Amino acid sequence: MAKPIKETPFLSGTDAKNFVRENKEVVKASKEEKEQIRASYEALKEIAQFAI
Amino acid sequence: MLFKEFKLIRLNSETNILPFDCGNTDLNGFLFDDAKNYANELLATTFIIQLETETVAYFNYLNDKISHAEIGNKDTFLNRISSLLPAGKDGYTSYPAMKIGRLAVSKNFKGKGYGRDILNFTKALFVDNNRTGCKFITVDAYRESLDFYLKNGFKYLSSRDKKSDTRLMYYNLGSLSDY
Repeated sequence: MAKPIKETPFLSGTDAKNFVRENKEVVKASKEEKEQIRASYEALKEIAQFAI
Repeated sequence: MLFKEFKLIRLNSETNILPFDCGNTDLNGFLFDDAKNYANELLATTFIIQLETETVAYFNYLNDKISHAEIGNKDTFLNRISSLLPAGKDGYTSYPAMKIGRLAVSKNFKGKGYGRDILNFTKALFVDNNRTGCKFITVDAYRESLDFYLKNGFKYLSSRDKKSDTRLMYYNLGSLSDY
C-alpha cells in the first residue's frame, strides 16, 4: 500500500501568519499564463472520454 | 502540448490500468493498489491519460479546506472570545479548496510538459464555470517534485513538514479570478 494522501493541517502560529501575508494581495496571472492555461484545458478537454 | 491519440478517462472499479512506471515505486503503487479503493470509498477521483497500450500519466482530486488561526494583535483571551463571533471585516479563516492527491507522469513521457498541462487543466477546471466555491488548490507533493510545483506558482503551506517525504503546497486560484 502506498503512502496515504496527507491531510491539510489547521494552520497556526507562523504558518498562519505566513499564509495570511502571502494571500493578502494576490498577483494576477499574466495574459501569457492565462493563454497557456486555456490551451492545456482545451487540449485535455478534447481527449476526455467523459463530460466536462 | 500534443495529446493526439491520447485518451483522458475517469478511473472506476472496472478500469483496466495499463502499464505505468514513473520511476517512483510509491506513486506506481498508488495507481495499481490504492486508486480504486479511494474511488470506491468516495475519497478521491482518479483520472488517467493513456495510449492504447500504456498509461501516460494519472492524477486525482479530492475536496479540501485551508483553515488558519485568526491573526492579529489581540491577546489570547480576546482571540478566544472573537472565535465565537462572526468573522469580522478581515474576512474568513477557512477557505474551500481541492486537493491534488497524487500526480505522476510515466518515465517515457517526462520532460514534455504533460505535468504542467495537468496542473493548468486543473486550475482552469476549478475557475471555469465551477459548480462550487474553490479558492485554493492544495497538493501533497513528493520531495522530487517540489521545484515543479514552485515553478507552477505553488507555495509551501507549512514549515512543519520540511523533513517529510511529501510537503503540502497550495495555489491561490484568485490569481485567475478574471480568467
